[in-house]
Amino acid sequence: MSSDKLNIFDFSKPNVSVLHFSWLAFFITFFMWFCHASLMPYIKETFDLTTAEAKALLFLNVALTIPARTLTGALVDRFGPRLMYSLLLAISGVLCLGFAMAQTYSQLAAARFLLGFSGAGFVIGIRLVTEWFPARQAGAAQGIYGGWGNFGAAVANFILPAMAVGFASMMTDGWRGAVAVAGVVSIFYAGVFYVKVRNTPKGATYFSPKKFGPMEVTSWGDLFLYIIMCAPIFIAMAIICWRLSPAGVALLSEGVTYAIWLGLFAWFIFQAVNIYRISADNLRQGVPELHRYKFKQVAMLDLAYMVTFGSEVAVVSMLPLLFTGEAYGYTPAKAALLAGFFMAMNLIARPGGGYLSDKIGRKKTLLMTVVGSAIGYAGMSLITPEWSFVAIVAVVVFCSFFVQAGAGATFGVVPTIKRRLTGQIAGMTGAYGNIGAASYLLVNSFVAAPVFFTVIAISCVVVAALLLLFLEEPSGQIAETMPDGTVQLINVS
Amino acid sequence: MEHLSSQLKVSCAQLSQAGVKNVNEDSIGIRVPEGDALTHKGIVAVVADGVSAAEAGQEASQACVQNLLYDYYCTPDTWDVQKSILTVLNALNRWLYSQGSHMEDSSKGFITTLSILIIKSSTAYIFHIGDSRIYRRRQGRIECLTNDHTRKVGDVTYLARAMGLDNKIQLDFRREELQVGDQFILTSDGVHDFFPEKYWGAIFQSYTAIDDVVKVFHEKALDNKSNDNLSTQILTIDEIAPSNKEEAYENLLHLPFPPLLEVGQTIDGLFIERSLYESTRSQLYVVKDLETDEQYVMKTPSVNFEDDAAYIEQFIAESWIGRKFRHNKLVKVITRKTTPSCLYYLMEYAQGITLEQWMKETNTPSLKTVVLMARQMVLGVRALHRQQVIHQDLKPSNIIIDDNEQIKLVDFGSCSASSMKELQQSFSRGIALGTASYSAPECHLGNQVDTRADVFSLAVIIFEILTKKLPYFGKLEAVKSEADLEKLQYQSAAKLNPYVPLWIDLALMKALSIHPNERYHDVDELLYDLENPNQRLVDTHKRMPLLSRNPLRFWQAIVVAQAFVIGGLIAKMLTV
Repeated sequence: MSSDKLNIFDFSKPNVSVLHFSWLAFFITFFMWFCHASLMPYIKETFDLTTAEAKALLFLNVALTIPARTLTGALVDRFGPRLMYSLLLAISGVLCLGFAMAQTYSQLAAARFLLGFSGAGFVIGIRLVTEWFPARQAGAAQGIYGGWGNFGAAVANFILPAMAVGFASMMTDGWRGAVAVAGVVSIFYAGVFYVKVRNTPKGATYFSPKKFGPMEVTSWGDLFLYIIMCAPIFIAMAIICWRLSPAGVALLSEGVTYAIWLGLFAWFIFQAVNIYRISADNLRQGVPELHRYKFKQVAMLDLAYMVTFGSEVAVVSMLPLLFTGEAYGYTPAKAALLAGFFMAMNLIARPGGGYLSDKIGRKKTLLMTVVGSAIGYAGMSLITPEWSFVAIVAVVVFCSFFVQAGAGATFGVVPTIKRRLTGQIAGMTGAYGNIGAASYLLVNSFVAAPVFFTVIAISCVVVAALLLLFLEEPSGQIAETMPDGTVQLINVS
Repeated sequence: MEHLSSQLKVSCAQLSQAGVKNVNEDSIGIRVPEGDALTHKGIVAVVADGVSAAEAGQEASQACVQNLLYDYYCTPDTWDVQKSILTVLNALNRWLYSQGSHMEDSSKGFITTLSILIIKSSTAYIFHIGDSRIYRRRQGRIECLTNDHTRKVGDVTYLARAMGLDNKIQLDFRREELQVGDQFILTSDGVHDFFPEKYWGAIFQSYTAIDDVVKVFHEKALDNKSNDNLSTQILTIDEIAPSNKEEAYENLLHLPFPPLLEVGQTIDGLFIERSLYESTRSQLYVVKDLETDEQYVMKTPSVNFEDDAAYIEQFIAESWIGRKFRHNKLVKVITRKTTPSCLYYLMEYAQGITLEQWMKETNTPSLKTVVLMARQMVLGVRALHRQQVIHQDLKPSNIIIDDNEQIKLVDFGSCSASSMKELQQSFSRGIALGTASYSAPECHLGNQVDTRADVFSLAVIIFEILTKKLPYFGKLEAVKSEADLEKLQYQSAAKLNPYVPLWIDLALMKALSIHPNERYHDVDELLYDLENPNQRLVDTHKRMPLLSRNPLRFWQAIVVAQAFVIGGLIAKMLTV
């Protein structure tokens, strides 16, 4: 069996078909996760929502994703990706139907809140890809999985408004039909996925990893930094709770809010203690050179993913509502098309970011993409209703290219920090992506669009500066091929 | 196995003298090898005291010491200490006994005591027969580690056990953990009977050089009227293999991982012709040696594991084990003159396809073909077992079959050799080795694994060739606990393929027993029952109650009977 380059059309290879099943599963979860964004103008009309209420819905959509990701990661280790993806698809499908049938704003909000779960699918497929692909192809396969899956949000934007219009001839609220179709497809696909996909290649065993819980750190400074870096995860969840409390959309009662805050605080302390406990031996006795790594590298990736993937999710959620607003007055279909363009670049930009990272250097690529994102968002903050549609599309596409390449480039660096801890590092980075999404959407619910884009642009500049200062080019063996094809190993450190 | 290289350092002194006697019937010897032998075999010190009442005590003791010091190091590197010593001593004893057996009184033949100390990695192994002694001095305390095998009749003491006394020997064996600074003292009775250990402490304190200590021991014993030969050896443990993990890691990382290689590249004079197979654990390339034009298969570790010490250790072990075999049913691991610049190893390029592929392409083969294939697999596995190596990962994709249906086992990636388990630093492995569908239940559940695990795997493969299905309805893979195991029901191969005769089915059933105790002990027994109908198995099977022979049929019968009874009762009720 020869297997040099990944050939995605070679369906005779079991791992290629697993890849296709996986990205499609991810695609469907993303489709459902963002099926409300482009339909928001219709939903707003049906329920007679204020803009603030609509923006709250956008925010609710990403609220549950942060803890859901952690939970899903642990469950995948336990039950395997096959079962987990099938369950996630089936449950999300049911929730989607619930969203389609909601009669009151609080039902709508509750369904959206719970649908935050469908944004947690990424980690499941990543696990499948690592089980099925050898090292040479793993990077490309992950890029395809992530990029094509994210494309689901673009497709949702492209086709849902049209579907809504189509269904409108059959029912009063066409958007309900469109959302329901997504739910039905997902439930159906859950079955297909379970039947067709296996956790591991035939003859290999699915093993749960040796370690659960937090990753170990190798110096006191890193211990401190790790605990600091965990805090935003909990703070984000606390703020989300606050938005759900009577102070915000009143989904939670005051008592429950306080209880959750207390729980979050206890959880944070527990996490900090666990981090210390898992690293205690290392810190006291020292760690072999081989096992040392710098946690600041992880922290930098977290921040990079926060401004790239986080802003991407936030922006694609709010764009349709922005352009159907009074100032622009686009039809929902046209606004959704714009938002779709923002996600469409995923098909090439995300795998492209990973590719560039391999080819021209990891730090350089990451810096370039984050700076590019800053410029792109600065450009978007300048958009006024006077701009032509084409000009707006051009700015949107330019910006999204850098944003998504940045997300790809971040995951290009993840495995180079510490092989053994890759799963945990990826988990934390992903969590920061969602923190970014939630924070930006929170900002969005308070301010107008130009300010929102400016905030993102500024955060990109800050992160770019931090990357420049603190991120180190990952070291290690570099193999150099001489002109005659002889391989020589050169040590870089 | 460079990372395991023994750092053992020992200083020793020894002296053997006739004393007041004319001849010295004691023999002593110490061998401190270098390199691989030090790592895998260790240091040997031996004292033999030829029995003076015997005719040929001197020859006996000399033969023991000389042969032991030579033969022990000739045993395979994969054998553990115990098996190596027992093999050597059994042969020696048979020879001594046969030499003495033509004498009138067999108790006066080639008879000698024998006390052996082996120091390997961080452990001392003691083998002992007779009344020589081995002591250990640790932190000033002296302790005798052996028991004298003597019997007292009146005033005379006889040797109860010794080499050459009987055609069977009973050896005492014990194992002791080493500490730096430990001293081992081996003495013959000419020393310890006349200058007992309670006086030794003072001597050790007044003389720093152990050479002097040995001399003083003998002087004192002679002062106390020792009437026998005198022999003493002292070994001081100066350094043990590093317990320091960092050092072991560094040794492991001595060679870097090679990058992912492209066709057309050259590394260490090996031209990459094509990529053969890539998995998440390793890559296989077909390469050509540019000097000799010879084709090999190169196996390189996957970068996924570049910081996983346990994986690297296993990778190195697998090439090391491979080099120990020259067998036509096992793929050969090649050693070239060029030292590798990175971590990989070369194997001969076995022509053919994997058994997995073969099974897909071939219709159910004839029984004769299958048995012939089984025979070849057994030959390969038996060669491993003879060297105390367990394969642990027999599966169709690890077996190559050529056009003439000749078979070769190609992967030693999960092998474990007994001698390596005795080495100190092994990094814990988080994941079970082996493949769920083919490995024995004890492997899944992390229990002790021995050769019977390979019997199981082999039987799974034969079952699959015969029936195209995995045994136990393919449910083995999903087993997660003992309770799951108990639920498994053997599925008869004959039901899946009517051409499978009962005796083959029963042999497979026995080899596939969930509990290792109920299986064949080794692959040879399985092969015998595959080649010769085992009437006993068949008879036992026929005499078994239906419940254990075919539980499903039994319960079906019960249900049918019940249905009749219930039906009858209802009918009766209705008619009343």
